Amino acid sequence: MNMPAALHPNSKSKYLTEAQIQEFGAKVEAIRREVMDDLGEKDAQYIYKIRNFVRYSEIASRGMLMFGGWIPPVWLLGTGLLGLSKIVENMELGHNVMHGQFDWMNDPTLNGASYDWDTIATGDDWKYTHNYIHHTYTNIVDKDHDVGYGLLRVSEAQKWEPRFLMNIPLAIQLMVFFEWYVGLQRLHLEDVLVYKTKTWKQVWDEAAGLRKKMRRQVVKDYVFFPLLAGPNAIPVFAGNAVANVIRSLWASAVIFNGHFTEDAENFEADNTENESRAEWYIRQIRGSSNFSGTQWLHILSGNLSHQIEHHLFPDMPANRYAEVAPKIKALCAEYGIHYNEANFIQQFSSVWVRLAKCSLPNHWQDKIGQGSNLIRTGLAQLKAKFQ
Amino acid sequence: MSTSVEYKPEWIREDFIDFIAEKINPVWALKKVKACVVEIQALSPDFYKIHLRPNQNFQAQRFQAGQSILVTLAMNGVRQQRSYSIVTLLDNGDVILAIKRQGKMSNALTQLPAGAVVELSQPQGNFVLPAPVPSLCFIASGSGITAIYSLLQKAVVSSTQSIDLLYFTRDDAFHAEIKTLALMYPYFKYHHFNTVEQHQHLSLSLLQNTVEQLGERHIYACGSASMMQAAQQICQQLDLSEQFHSEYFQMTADENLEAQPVQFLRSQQDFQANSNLLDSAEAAGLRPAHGCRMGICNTCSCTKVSGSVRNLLTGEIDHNHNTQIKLCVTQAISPVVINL
Repeated sequence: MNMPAALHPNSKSKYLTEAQIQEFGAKVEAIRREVMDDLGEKDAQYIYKIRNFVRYSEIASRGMLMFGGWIPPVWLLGTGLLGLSKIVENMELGHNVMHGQFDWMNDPTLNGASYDWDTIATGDDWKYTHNYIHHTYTNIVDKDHDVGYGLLRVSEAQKWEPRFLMNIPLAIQLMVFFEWYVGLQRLHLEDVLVYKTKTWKQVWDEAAGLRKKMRRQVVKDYVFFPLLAGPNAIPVFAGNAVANVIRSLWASAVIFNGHFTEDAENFEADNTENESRAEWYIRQIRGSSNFSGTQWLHILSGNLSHQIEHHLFPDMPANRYAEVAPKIKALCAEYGIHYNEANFIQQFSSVWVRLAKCSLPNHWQDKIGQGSNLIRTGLAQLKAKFQ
Repeated sequence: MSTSVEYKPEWIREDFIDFIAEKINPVWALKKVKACVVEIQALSPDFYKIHLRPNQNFQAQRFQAGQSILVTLAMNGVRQQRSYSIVTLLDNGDVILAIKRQGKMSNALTQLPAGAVVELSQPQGNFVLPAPVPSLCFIASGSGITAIYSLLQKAVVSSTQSIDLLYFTRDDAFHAEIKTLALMYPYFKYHHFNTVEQHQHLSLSLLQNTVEQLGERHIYACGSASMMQAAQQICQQLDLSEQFHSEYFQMTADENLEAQPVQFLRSQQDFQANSNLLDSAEAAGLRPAHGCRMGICNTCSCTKVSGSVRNLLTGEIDHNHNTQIKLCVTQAISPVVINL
């Protein structure tokens, strides 16, 4: 029996019959097929161009830091460019390649199975936590670990615990050290620290690959390049550290915008056990949110600005999301499915409102809601009196 | 967590080193074998001799006559790979291939300008002579002559045992060279069949009438699918399968079999397969990674979770769970689930 994900009481999507759902699914499928049949030279050239940008910008920025790092404007430029290079490597290159979006090119250097990106997380760990768990069980509370990373409470369906009072400060430090958290995600440290269902010994054993990757990243950015710079070691060290933080801040902001925005829905496990392909598509749309912007914003976000399209078609080359988005949006309008889209600032602010709300137990929120309603109506009455 | 394969982060990415190296010299690379085209010569209107000069990573000393290499060329954004027999390996390590224009890849390869760069594999394959070299019977048709000519050159200088070659051809490629060898080495007999002039196919009686003491020979066949099938059947009839060596250029799926439903597990896609799994998946709009399309390079190898399949090269049937298969040489004979 197929059980579509139940509509959340606040969902902006309409109820669809089984037949409508299947029809919708077939139309999504047709959109996918059209693009996948058309892949070729220009998509290959695109990803090679992105990779060359990463290479040239890394050479240029590391060169600047190494030779001119002691001159403040050069340091700023070099550090900024290195941050940019790392962002593009992680988002538009690494993330997309590791989804297997460019496997059809048969190029072993751009093959999803073997690509390992320039960040703390190992490619294998990330493919498990992200490609498999997050993309299969998207936004299902207790199944998709990306629902709060075991650190935050981002959904009212998550059980409230006192530690979530710290939601906002925890989210801020999560952003700063994001690459480390992504690296550690598969270890589920909250099971040791909070729930005591796991031991440190287990964590240590599971982290064998991660330790090697951490050593590689730390030695490269904080030992090798500073030493290579000789007298410029300190500016190089600082530049690398700041560039890594820039990348962490940006990546986490993009990812928060994808699933933690006001209208992005969460689901419960029992609703989704037997869902069909078409229902899976609809869950992906309802659980994701897009942000609009210029072409550069899309590239810097690894085209996760088209989070909805990415979740529908995780293996489609990301440079094609922009052409697919209007079609999906029109289809959603036709079937009354809410297509969650706003500009970056709007989406990002709604993330913080949601995080703030979720830091409190649900019944407190209701009280605050009632309270604010009282104040609002009171103010309105006052206004009416004085007019 | 699966730690079955030891994880080792790369300190420097190989593709980054190659990227720098190719700025200096287009064939330089850390580990990859790259080669530049020295010259392309027409042997006939659709048969071309290609002279390639590989970089220092090519292990020429590992080459045994009859082996082939995979040539990689990007076409429309996709790196395509095909296997070609090495006709001759020159003393300086240069590789001579002979390529018949019969598909997109061979068309593109034979039109490359001098100086163009392609990627190669190391020499590979089991289509080689045993040591010591026994008395031999070679059977070639069409472009299959490339592998056979390579073996022949080696065989005539390695022993004085009798050698016979049956060559079915329309364009007489390498005909002059082989005639010369026949004049130089009396124990080598050349049987040439121009199939435009005389409509002759390989048959049991032809083989028995042309080759003396067939039972003592090692038989090497390379050529068209129909010729290969005939050769294999003849050797089975004569109980010579142990001495039979073959190199396939084309494979044919059994078209009489019913189409079977195939499921790709990870990408959650289903399709009907009636030829090999790679072709069927592509016909259904999927793009699994692939290389040579003839069971050599392993690029399309993946885990078959369940179902029964037939190996198109060996005819073996595999019913087991979780076995490795190559999509390009596998045909489904029951519903199949694949971890892709």
